[in-house]
Amino acid sequence: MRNKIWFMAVVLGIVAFLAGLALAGVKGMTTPVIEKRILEKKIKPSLDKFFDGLDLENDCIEDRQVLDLGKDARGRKQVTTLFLGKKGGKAVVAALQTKAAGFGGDIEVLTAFSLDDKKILGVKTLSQSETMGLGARVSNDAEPFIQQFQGMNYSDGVEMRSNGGQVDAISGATVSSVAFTAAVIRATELVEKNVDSAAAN
Amino acid sequence: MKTLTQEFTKGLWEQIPPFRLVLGLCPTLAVTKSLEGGWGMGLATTFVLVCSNLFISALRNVIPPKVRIATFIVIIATFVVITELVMKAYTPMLSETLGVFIPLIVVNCIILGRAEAFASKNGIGRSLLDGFGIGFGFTLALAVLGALRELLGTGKLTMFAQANLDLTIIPLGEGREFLFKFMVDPPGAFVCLGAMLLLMNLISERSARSKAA
Repeated sequence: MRNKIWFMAVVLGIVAFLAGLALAGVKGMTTPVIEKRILEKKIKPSLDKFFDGLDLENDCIEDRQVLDLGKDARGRKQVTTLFLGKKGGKAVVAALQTKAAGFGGDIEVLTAFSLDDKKILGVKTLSQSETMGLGARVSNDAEPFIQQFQGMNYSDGVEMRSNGGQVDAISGATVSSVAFTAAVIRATELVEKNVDSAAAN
Repeated sequence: MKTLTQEFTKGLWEQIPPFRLVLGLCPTLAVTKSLEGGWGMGLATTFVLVCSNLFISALRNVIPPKVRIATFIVIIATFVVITELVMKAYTPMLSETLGVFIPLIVVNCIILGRAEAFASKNGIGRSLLDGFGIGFGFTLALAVLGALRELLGTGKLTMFAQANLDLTIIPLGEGREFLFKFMVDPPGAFVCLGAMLLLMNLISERSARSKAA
């Protein structure tokens, strides 16, 4: 019986079904923990720092909105989270999570904006897998490359110095620097496009 | 036939995975930048190995021989994804350190190797002991390799970064990140692994010679 085709299919089917059940259960249990941890441990401290002293009237973590970015080249749904800080009923600050492909994988960046004077309040690397000692320096908040974004005016766009812009790369880590900057550029584009409609909600 | 104790202890020296079986070298070389990476990877692999050995051994008389590899992979992959999700939720820093090498446990040849060569031919008890033995051997080897590389590379030993458990053994000057950067780079992994292999062969040879004499 063990060599019959139907038996093989049944055994493999049952094993795969049980595996799927087990995985669905574990995923259901861990997803909220993972999401909560990312919000609390990574995004909240950065937002508190960027929006420090602004006396926002809302909790921008609580009021976060998910933006639908359409589908990527492989047809997977792309989303990002927008955090808006309001004052007097008007959105004054925003922060947005974007990513770009670096040297060792995606670099995920949180960019915070001051909307009135169109300035970047700060940037923070949320995750990266770049080379230790070179590209991985984007994780260091004290790194001059990261610091240079603070207070940068984005009304005329953000661009690498090599493309006639204002951003200096980390020497020896051009790919990582370009990817990081690409994520910031993407965030500026998204914030320009979405902030008005999002603020109305 | 080995005794049950031997079934467990064979994994700790006689068949210790990266050195004696010379299996699973990819993660061995990649994640041993720190002590934490070493033991973290080792324990994650042990969990998957023990669980897959248990299930494969329990189902060994049911699984049709022709689709056994497919069945093994489904079972192994399930436990790998469970490990990955649980680590992401509860040990996030370790999960970040190990990165893609956790999902890659699926293709770790130690696990498929033990499933095919041992668990599919032996009872549940023996398969569990085999899983624990080989798993702990792998953990031990990775932890020692990781500790050696981290100590020589950065002068530190990271036990568990999430709880700030790290020791500075060799203090470096202000602003200096590395003691001997070569050791935490990929080539350093080969050199360290080679040195440990040499040492192990030396000890085995010595003990064999003293037994003969």
